[in-house]
Formats: sequence, structure tokens, C-alpha cells
Amino acid sequence: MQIDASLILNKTTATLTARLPLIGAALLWSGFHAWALHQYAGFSWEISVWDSSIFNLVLISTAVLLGSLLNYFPRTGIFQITVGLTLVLAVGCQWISAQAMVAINADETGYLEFLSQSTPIRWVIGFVTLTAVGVSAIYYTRWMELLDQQTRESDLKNMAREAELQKLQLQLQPHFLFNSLNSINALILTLPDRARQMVLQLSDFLRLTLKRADQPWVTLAQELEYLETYLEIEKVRFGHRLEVVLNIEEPSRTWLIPTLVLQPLLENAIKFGLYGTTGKISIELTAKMNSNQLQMEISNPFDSDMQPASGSGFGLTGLQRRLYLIYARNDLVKTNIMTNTFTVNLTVPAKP
Amino acid sequence: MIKAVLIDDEPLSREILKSYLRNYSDIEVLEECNDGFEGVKAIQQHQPGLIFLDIQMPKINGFEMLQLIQPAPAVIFITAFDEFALKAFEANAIDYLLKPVAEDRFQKAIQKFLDKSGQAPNTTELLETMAKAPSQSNRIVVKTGSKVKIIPVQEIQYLEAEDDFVKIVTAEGSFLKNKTMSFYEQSLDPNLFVRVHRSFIVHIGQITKIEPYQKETHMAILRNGQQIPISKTGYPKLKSILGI
Repeated sequence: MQIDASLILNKTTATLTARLPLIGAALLWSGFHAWALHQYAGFSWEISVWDSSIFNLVLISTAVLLGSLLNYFPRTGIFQITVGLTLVLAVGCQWISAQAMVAINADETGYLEFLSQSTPIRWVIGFVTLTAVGVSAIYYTRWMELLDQQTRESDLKNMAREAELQKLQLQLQPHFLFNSLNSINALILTLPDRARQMVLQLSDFLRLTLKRADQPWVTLAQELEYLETYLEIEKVRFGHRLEVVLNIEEPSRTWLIPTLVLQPLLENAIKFGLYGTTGKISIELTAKMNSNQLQMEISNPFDSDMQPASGSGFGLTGLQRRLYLIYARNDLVKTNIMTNTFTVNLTVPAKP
Repeated sequence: MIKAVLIDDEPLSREILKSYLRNYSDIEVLEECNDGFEGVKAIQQHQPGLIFLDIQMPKINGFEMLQLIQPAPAVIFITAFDEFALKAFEANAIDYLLKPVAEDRFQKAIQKFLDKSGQAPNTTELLETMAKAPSQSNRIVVKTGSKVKIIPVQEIQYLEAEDDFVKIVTAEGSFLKNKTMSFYEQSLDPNLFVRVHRSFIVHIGQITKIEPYQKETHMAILRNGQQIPISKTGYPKLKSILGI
């Protein structure tokens, strides 16, 4: 399991206030440490405070270091690693602080004797403190990840409900359906054979729509088959204006993609092309494999003078959210506006 | 002889209307248009007595096209599916046809038009309703000379009453529109546009300074230096929206 970088970042910033009690406890402990040395071992306040400050400061720094170090270890055997690491660090803490205290109080023989006698106790204190910090850090990270996972899961559930609605709408597609029927109505008078052909195309399209309702994943080839049925019908209505160029590289055809991702993009491109500009339009769709990800590009003509009628942003935010819920990535859809072309770049990673 | 113009972006859809119209020897189709721009030109040129108008069309829709024509001719609307529009039609008793268009329904619509012929069609209210539709509220379509211009509302600096017109001022220039101030006060986003004066509606994003002026009035200074008077009643409205 990878550790999400943003999670660690969130953790450090969000817990600054949560750490105040910890800092308080550390200060309290240091005070107690100094007081006990003065009271029971009989050292001067100066020596007691020096001892307490140096030892505890080294210990706290080591604890902070340990907390962040643990993020870089694999999950399996993390507790064994923590104990091992803690043993080494506890000894290290004692050694470093002892060096500093010897340097400061070089002529206090009584204190130096006490220092070497207390070595095992300092090891134990260091070990216990560091282990506690390490274990809490591990559980804290896991808890944060669990929270994140829970929000993702509940979002996914909401999304599933929305997708269900969307599917219903796709099955109906009232605008598309009524317009197609109107075209058929016109063709019956003028070109009866063409009318019959369009009835069959419309049936094929409806059949595929119904079939897809319970297929969350399809191959690109299947998706294209569906899109081409759709395009055939649109061409009857807008053949005088609409041209669609497909550039599909062979290996990408077997790649699995989620349904309701490519189709809305193409439909949008056609809609914005047809209704955002006048005259002939050309929609281009390319697909190729790039370092084990499917890379797609959909472009449509775009009039920079135009204020999109409504729902600007091409309804891309919904798509972005859907892709995040499926792949836990935010960088899969990129848009680009050139003077007269609107391009969407879509990356489809392997099915998780 | 009644002159008619067909405005629909789908050739097949026009085809069916033409075939139904063949039974009416006194209605002559003078021109077929692919979009609202062609529509405006054709109507100006032919001054038709009747137009068949699709709603969903490239760049500007049927309602926006109609706003550009004075006076509006008799209209039979055609739509595939638009709940908002259907409600507006019914509320204003305006005739419309649903795709796919049935011949008997078409005949009824023509009959209704012939019965009412000579009376001025009342589409004003319909257009006012539709201008508030979510699909149109973020832009205003204006005509300058023979050209049609689409103004995104966020580019509007302010609106000023000018006789029977409203002057819409943007960085590119100003445009006159045959509407009332209260129409824009109602149809523009009230969080962005405030009627600060009987004759002025201002885009709050354009205001840089507000200075006291004579007596109880104030003056708003826009980014381009333009001064807009704020009336005694306009000032509290502006203050509450700016949160001051």
C-alpha cells in the first residue's frame, strides 16, 4: 500500500494544534525530571536543569524523527521494525545526551558517576517513550487512512446512485430520441429505404444502451462500437455539418475502460461543436497506449466569442469526480483551449 | 399570399414541414435557414407573416433570435423536448409543435394562425420568461447594425436607462436593447448586479470606490474611471450586497 503524500502533509498541518497537549506533557515531564534530580540525588538546580533539558530535548527530537521515519517503511512487520529501531535510537539518545552533559559538567565528579550509573535507566526511559510514540504514529496514520477510505466509499455509493439516474437518462435521452424519430418521419416521405435503415440503427443503439446499463467496464472496442452506432444516427441528422475522425491505435482496443466516461465526452464535443458554432465541424478522437495507460484525445471546434449557453466546463467536473472515485487520481482529465479548438485529454489507467 | 420562413438546423426537420405545407397553396416558403443568424437576415429581408422556429439551434437559440427582431412576426415554435419552454408556451397560450411533428397537429396550428391572422402576436411575455431560463441567464444577445453579438453577463460593466431602451456597457462598447430596467433588475444575478439608481444597474465587480456625493447620495467609481450615481435608496442595497 502506498502512502499518499498529501495525507502526510495534511497530517502535519492539521495536527499542530492537536500537539499542544503533547508539548505540555513533555514540559511537565522535563520539570519533574529536574525536580527529582535536585530533590533525591541532591544535585544543584543548575546541574539538574541541564541534565533534564539535554536528555529530554534529544529524546523529543528523536521521537519526532521516528514519527516521520515510520512513513517510509513497508506496512508488513512495521511493529517489529519499530521495536528494533527504537532500541537503537534509545541507546543513541542516551549516548548523545551523555556526551553533551560530560562536556558541560566535566569537573563535577559526583554527577559524572551518577551519569554512568543511570545509563540503563535512561535506556529504559528512552525505549518506552520512543516505542509509545512510534506505535501511536502508526495507529494515527492508519486511522487517517481509514477516514479517507470511508469518505471515498460513501462518495462512491452516492456516485453509484447518481450513475443509476444517469443511466436511466441515457436510456431515455429524450432529446436525441425525439429528434431521431422526427428525422425518420421525414425520411419515410422522401427516402423510405433510408428511413428503414435508421429505424434499425436506432434499435441497435437502444439495445446497446440497455445492455450497458449493467456493465461497469467495457473494452475500448466495445465502447467504440456503441459510439459508432450513435454517430451513424447523428450523421443522418447533421450529416451536412458533422464529420468525426477516429484515430484508434490497434493495441488500445482491448483496454478496459469504465462506461459513461468516453461517451459523455464525445457527446459533449458534438453538442458544443454543433451548437456552439455555425458551419461544418470536425470532431477528432484519438486513442493510443502510452506507458501502460490508455491515452485519449477528443477535440472539437470552439468559438472563443461564444458564451457557452449553460453548464460551462462541459460537465467535466462530474467526470473528474467519477474518475477520482474509481482510480483515486485527480490528474486524468486535462482540457486545453486553443484559439478555435477545445481539446480534452483523458488518461485511463489499468482497472484497479 | 402568406410569406413564411423556416428556421431549423436540421434539414430533415425542415423537409417535413415543407411537405406538410404543400397542402396550403396560400402559404409560400421564401427561405430556409440553418441558424438564428440566417434567420434574422431572412426575416429582415422578406418580412414574413409567419415563421416556423426551432428552439435548439447553433450559437443563439430560437428565443434569443426572436429578441433581435422588432416587431416579432407570428411564430409557430418547434421543439423536441424542453420542459422549461413548454411551460412558458402554455402560460402564454402560444402555439408550438413537438417533434416528431404530426400532420393533424400541424394543421391545427396553421388553422389557429389563420384564425388569428391580423392580430399582433404576443410573444413579449414569453421572451421575458425565457430570458430568465437557466440556459440563457448568463448572456445577452444584441444586434449592432447587421451583426449579432453575444455578451457574457460577467463582461457587463453597467446598464443605463436611455429613453425606451437600456444601454448595456462593456469594455468593448455599449449596446442598446429594447427592454426595461426592471426586466434586467429581475433577470440578472442579484448577487452581481445591483440597481443603485433609477437609471443605473451596476456590476459590483467593477466598483473600485464609493464616494459621498451631494446631500444623501453617493457616487460609485468603476475600474475604468466611470462614475455611477447611487441614489438614497440604492445605497443600502449596495451596502448589503457588498457586506459593508
